Amino acid sequence: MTSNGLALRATGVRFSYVDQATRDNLLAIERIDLEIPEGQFVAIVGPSGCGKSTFVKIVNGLLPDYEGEIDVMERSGQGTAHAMVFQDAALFPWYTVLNNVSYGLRCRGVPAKAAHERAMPYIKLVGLAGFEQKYPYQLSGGMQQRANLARALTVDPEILLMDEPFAALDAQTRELMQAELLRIWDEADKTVLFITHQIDEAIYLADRVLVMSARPGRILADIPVDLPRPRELRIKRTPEFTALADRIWELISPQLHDQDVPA
Amino acid sequence: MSIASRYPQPAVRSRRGGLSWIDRRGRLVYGTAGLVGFALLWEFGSRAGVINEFFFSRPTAIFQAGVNEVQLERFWRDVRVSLTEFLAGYGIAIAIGVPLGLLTGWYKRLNYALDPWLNFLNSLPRFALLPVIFIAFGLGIWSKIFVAFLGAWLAIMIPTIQGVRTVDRRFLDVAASFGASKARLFVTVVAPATVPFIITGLRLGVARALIGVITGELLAATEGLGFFIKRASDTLQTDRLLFAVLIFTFTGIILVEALRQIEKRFQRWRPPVRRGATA
Repeated sequence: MTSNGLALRATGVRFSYVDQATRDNLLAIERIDLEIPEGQFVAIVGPSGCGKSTFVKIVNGLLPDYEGEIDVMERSGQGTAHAMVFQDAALFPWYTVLNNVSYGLRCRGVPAKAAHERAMPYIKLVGLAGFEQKYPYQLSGGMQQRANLARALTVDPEILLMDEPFAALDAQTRELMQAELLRIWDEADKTVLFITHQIDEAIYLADRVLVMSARPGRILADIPVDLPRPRELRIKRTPEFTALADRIWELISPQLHDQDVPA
Repeated sequence: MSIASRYPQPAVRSRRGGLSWIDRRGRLVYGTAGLVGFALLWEFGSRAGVINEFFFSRPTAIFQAGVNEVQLERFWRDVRVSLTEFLAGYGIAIAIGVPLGLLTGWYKRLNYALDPWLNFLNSLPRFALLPVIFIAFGLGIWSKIFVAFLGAWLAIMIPTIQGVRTVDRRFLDVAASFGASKARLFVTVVAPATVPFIITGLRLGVARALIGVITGELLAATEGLGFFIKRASDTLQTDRLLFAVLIFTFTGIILVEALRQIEKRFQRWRPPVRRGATA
């Protein structure tokens, strides 16, 4: 952390939408107030359907009809305010890795050649060197998520928004990708807002875990994670880690719908 | 008897590990074999009197008729006229159908507005309207161009609309999230995702346009291959008639095959389908 400025401030964010089938007005997010200092890794955990994905989409600008205020602090550099690492990769299947990763730059008017040159270091950073000319179908799930991450990093965002990026991966690849993400985060020096429904993933990665309620979503608790960095995967088996996980589970389990909880 | 032999054996493999020549070229080999076999049955069936030559002719007679025709200037004029009508009708159908289909798929309101018309026009008995079309466009090439266009246009436009409407939401979100302009969104997401649908439309359109041309010419024309067929049929020359019909069908086959090659070029990014399924 180089400065102690804020990267993101959300004040009184509230979001409702009209359900297409029932015509009902549904409140997805009741209220979210949040401040994220520059360089911090923040994870949001919550039961499915609690509005956590909706919240990152709002921050990303994909859902413009929200109430409240969101300020993303612009650094004086030439990067963008935020970039999203999507759930299930969402790489364009018709583009090679190189063209996918440089897509954000191309959108900002960078000519193809320059965009490719600027994308290469990020492809190397995420460990995809040699795969630039492959199409997404030729990559494994973990590699697709690496490319997805590189695509977001290439536009040099102030905040990296990650919407359950490892949810679709198998358990072993997920663990590996978590460790990889910490390595990359350390090198790229970004503020991260990471959405997940996995408590251990949140604790392992983040400086701070926000626990959300069931719909309509609001933040139930803001829990600092004081585990030392750099963290290795075996930290997940320390008493401090499991104590944190238990505490968060205590908060989340009453939020789950009755039918989802074993009797 | 070994256990292995009770199970289906894998296809014969050459030393390089790939499938043998006959399997790799399966589509060509078996396709040709099917055609040649059919032609042989026809030829000898006709010669043996099992098939009535007066109605169905036979391959060698049709071939002979073809050899005679290609030396006549009249024949080439008919070909030229039909080809012009087809290319003009099909070309206009593409020029209007693809862009209009893309727009109609993209703009929901335009889709709502055009939808009843598309259904109406698509279920229209186009050939029943031919008399009116002849009155409106005359007996020359324009009435045939119009009929070819009308058939191909909707065949191209309807799948194109469908293609745009089924573009994966996630890809649109990705483009929006990186701030892609409308134009870039169209070129980088909507167009590539819609290509397979457009090609399907183009493929259906070939047959519709060819049928439009031939029907128009059969009903009222003074030149063109349809008129050629009509003359041959009026004079009971089955061999000449079938020769002209074959020209139409081969044109269709060649064009559809060409479209398949174009599609392949555009679809390099798709995972290859299992060998056996396409070979």
